[in-house]
Amino acid sequence: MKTIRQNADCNITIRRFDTGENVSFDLGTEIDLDDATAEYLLNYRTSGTNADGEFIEEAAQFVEV
Amino acid sequence: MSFQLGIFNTYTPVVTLVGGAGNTVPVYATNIGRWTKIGNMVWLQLYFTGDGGAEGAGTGVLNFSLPITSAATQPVFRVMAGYMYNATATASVAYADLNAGATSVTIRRATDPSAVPASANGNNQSNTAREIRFNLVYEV
Repeated sequence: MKTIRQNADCNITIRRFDTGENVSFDLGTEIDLDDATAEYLLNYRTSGTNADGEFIEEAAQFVEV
Repeated sequence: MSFQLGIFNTYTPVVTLVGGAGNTVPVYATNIGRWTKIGNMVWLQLYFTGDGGAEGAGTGVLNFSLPITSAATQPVFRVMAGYMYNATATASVAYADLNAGATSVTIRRATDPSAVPASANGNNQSNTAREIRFNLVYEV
């Protein structure tokens, strides 16, 4: 189990690998997750395009707390 | 992660919804990624179809995990990559948006190929008959 925090102002929703439950992060959200889901998000880099189709870098950034 | 030259490897892509609100990640009965790596290029096929559980919802943009992170030198690009539908009568061209150093690919869609594609979001995969399939080549 790891606690991770979203450090970017862009929310992300994922199904937990262990339970399949949807969990959503926004800026500053901290959630306890199973190790596999946490590791996936800690390495996560989206190809993020915003609503206008413009590319943005690293729309989701997570850190372990 | 190991690979064999010229032989497709498989993995289970992870679906995420980025941004937006009211998001529920769609679950597919078939959720397959097939890829091979030759030199510093990856050839990737993604295939998602059928009702495997929760229907998609929300305005978060669909992202699918890549088997290998794209290279820092990967040019930022948008390519017409395949097609998608949400109920069989509502098909769209699917586009892949890929960034350098990305672990996921972003999907966009257009019902008219001459139009600027819009974000493909959870609401666009809300029907029990839903599907996305596309091919992508990128640098690693």
